[in-house]
Amino acid sequence: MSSREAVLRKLEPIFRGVIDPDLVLSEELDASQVPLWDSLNHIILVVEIEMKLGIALTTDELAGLRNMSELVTLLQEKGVQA
Amino acid sequence: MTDDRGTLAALVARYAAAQTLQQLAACARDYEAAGAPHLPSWPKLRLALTGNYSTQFLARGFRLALAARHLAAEIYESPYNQWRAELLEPGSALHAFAPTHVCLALTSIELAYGSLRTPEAVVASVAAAVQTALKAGDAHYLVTLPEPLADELDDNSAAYAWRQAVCDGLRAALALPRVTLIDTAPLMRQAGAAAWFDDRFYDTAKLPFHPDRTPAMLGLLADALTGVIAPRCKLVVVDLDDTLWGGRVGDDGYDGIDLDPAGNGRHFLRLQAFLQGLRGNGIVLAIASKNDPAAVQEVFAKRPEMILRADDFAAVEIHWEPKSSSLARILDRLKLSTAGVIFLDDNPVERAEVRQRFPDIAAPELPDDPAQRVAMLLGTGLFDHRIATGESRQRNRMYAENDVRDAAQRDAGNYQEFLRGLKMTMHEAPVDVARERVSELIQKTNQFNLTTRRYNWSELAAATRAGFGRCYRLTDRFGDNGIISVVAVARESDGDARIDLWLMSCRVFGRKVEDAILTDVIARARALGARRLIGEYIPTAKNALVRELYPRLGFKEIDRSGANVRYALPLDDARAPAAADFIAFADPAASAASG
Repeated sequence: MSSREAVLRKLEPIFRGVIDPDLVLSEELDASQVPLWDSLNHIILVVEIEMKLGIALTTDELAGLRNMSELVTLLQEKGVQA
Repeated sequence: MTDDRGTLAALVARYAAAQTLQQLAACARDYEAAGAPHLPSWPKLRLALTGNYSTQFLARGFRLALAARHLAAEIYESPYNQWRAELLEPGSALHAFAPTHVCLALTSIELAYGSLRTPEAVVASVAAAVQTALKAGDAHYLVTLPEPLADELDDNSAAYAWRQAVCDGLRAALALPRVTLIDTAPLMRQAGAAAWFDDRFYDTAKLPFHPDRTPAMLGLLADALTGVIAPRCKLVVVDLDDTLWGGRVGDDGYDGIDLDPAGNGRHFLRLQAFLQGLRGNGIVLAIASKNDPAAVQEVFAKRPEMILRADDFAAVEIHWEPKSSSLARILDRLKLSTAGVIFLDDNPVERAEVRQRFPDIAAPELPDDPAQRVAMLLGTGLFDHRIATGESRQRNRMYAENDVRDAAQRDAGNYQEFLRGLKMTMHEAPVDVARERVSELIQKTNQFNLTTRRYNWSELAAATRAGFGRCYRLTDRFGDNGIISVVAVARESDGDARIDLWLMSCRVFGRKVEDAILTDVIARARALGARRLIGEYIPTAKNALVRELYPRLGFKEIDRSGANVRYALPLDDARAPAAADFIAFADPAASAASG
């Protein structure tokens, strides 16, 4: 399992808790493909990711994150490990 | 329906435990998915939510928050920052919804940096919108007062001055019927500025607080709404001794009670200030105290430290009858039901007695430590954050004016049952077992004290040489009351036994404890071979409470010198007053007493 894949698996329970219990995360996924990934749930996702992964996002980062690939890259930069 | 109730209970439990936005959103989503279950008996509201920030999270959780408070609601939510148009236009979607309640949620961030900016313009705009909207229907308006801004460094900052000017202006302009102002500042103080503010979410989502503060804000709004529909607190009935002040005024005197702002009295003063604040918010205050009315009057007249004044109370019951009777009289006089009535008393027995007769009346378990009481009361949620309008401020005065004494006798039928349920047991012993406490009672007891002889130990021993000195300890299901009574009986040369000293803590007065003690005294006097039991009453400024004690217990007056009266109870044909069968004696002497 690549380290990107490992970060994805860490995110999965967070997304499942907010959006859909059966959601399977992949690098290709973006907000436009997930009807419940709306602007409100996006805020909940951001808060949960910050709390559960122990990181802090900037205003620009939390506004911009709308696809999984970018999110994984950003989290790796912020030191989220497998 | 049973399934519904189970689902509802589980969802309400999840809601109550929700600390984060994720938890709140999840249970709110499940509540809506379950068809928003509610009980047919709940009041039904139509709530319109409008404001100048992103209120969607509040809107999503509102029905569940209200369900947790036994209210059913339809919700209408205005589009973002459309509050002025929605309120001002009679034909707006908000007015077309025909709301019963409108919640106007405003944040200082937009008010202070938006188009209005100056306090005058903000107040004029908000007041005009609400005043106009009031004419469009009969809805009740709940308006949040602007919260402290993160820039509010201290009370000298411009941001503070701005907010105070806006709050003062709104309070003045919106002191109207059908308007409730909600102060959000206490929520922020509890959370702390660091946990409350997070500009990232205002910039990206127009949320003026951290998303995880949503459950707290929703709770505040739902509490305020609930308070409008069924005030959780409209009347507070308070005890006096050891509740409003430290000590017992009847025994310690008006100058002996503790109201020392530098000592333990501070905590009693804090409670007074808390109650005064409630009164300022339109909540009615009343007194129910087992006490001497004259002594209480002296406290109000002669203790300048008192924060509450006599005319702060719309009804006053000061006598020795059960507190439940006092409550019944107060409710009757003020024409109030038991809903929203709170009873504050330091004594668990009094609380239980009131609860037994009035299960709806909240009687919070006041901590024994006065220092903990205000914090405990705030934590009960019984006192909502509502800020009263002019109308409710008038309430106290209206009640005070209607205060016409109703002399109707109350049914005390449940009282006997209550006394039985107390499971009282008397433990009787010679005075020597507790010299310190007995001495203290002899020196300090003023109210239930027939002769007020302040004996020292050798005088007591001399007085009882041919008689007896006994002390009585009372336990009940709430615990040990300690030694509550002392009796000293002298054997007279003419064959009489004379009650030289009889005193009792007034904390247990009204429970027929004195009747039980007398049966024991009679048995002991007989054992001495006495033919009569003599009782004396020596009046003092403080013992009017027991003026009629001996006649009530079956004694006959035999002589009088000045104000002092002597009574006798014959022991040969003796028909001792039947002791209450709900007080058991722990000592074998009890069987002699009843035999």
